[in-house]
Amino acid sequence: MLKSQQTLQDSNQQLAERELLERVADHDREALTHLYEQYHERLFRFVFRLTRSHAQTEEVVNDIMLAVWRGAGNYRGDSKPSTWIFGIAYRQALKRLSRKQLSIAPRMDVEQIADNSVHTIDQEDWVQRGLDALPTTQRLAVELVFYLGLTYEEVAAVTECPVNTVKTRMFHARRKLKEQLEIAAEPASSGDSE
Amino acid sequence: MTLPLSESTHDSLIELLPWYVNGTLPADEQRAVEEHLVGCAECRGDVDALSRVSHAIHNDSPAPLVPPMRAENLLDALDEPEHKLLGFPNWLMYAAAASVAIALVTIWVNLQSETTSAESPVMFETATSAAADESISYVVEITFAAETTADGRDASLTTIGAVGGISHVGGETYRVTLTPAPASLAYLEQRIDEIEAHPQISSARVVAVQLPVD
Repeated sequence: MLKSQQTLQDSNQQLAERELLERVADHDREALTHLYEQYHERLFRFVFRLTRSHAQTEEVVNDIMLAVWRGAGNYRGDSKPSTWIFGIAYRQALKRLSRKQLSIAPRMDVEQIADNSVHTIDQEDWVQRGLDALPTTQRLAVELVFYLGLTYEEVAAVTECPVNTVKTRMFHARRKLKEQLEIAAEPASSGDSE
Repeated sequence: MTLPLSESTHDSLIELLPWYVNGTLPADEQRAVEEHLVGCAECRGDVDALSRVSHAIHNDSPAPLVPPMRAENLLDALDEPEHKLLGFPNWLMYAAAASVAIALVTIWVNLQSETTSAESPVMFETATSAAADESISYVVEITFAAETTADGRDASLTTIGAVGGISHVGGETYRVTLTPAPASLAYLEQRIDEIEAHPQISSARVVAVQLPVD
């Protein structure tokens, strides 16, 4: 698809979602259902990365949509609808992680490990260990950048922080993750030299 | 925000690397990073590490099996009062409210006995009479995220409306007074939620309620 076609499609989608949010602000249940249909999978996958629990994820996604229902009247249209909705998702995740209502769960269990190659497990497991060790705000920033693919301005809007704060969080996260990967590489290097 | 390319430096470009890797930089910044990478081994190493992180995140397997939507559950929840959305029956919420009020007053009394508070002499009423008082204040202990700067901390305290009665407890933890405020459990929960949602605050908890008496 041409870039111009993609841009047109994106702007049409944004228009449609803005209209849905306006209707949700007027307490139109059908509009909320449409919005839920459009965002359910994306929200589920985003939250599931943090919880690794279907039950907890379902609960958080419902809370996010209820917050959309209650707060749609506050949407002023100065950001994309998706940015606004993921801002709510971010705050819900941050709140629960801070309160320890959610814990960031280990990613791999034995059964999953058995289904994957050793090399892939080593690499991804070390990355995941690094992610799990990050402070909550840095962890969420990494997810917003790499999982959702947001620009730095969009991350700033979602997290309600200045762009410089976002860059600083990613700077610290990057440094810690790089250290983690270097630690992961050490046994392999020493093994190679033997 | 676009960097003037003539002022691009290693320090400013290295901060853009996550967005270079996720492919969302504006064209001029993208070009500046690419040119910088040619001569900077450190940044090339960072790009490699970030690419592996991005790859690992996108290849996180197995992908979750997304369950079917349950829109009807969501719509049912819209009809419930907000406290029911928390999953508690009414009687439990009332019991919890009473317990919290009593506990707060008890904590406050204990704190008063441990510290001298000449600046704001207060007396106490019972939790029941407090419910009618619109001018109580809450003492909230706030812990900031470790990377928060002093300026960021000050800005956060202003944002949450804690402009007075701020004391440093130790480490990243401060005790602030929120006033005036209605004596309502729902209000208190909402305020704590708002404070905890602040990106630079890692936790917040009420440690005391002050009930001034004329």
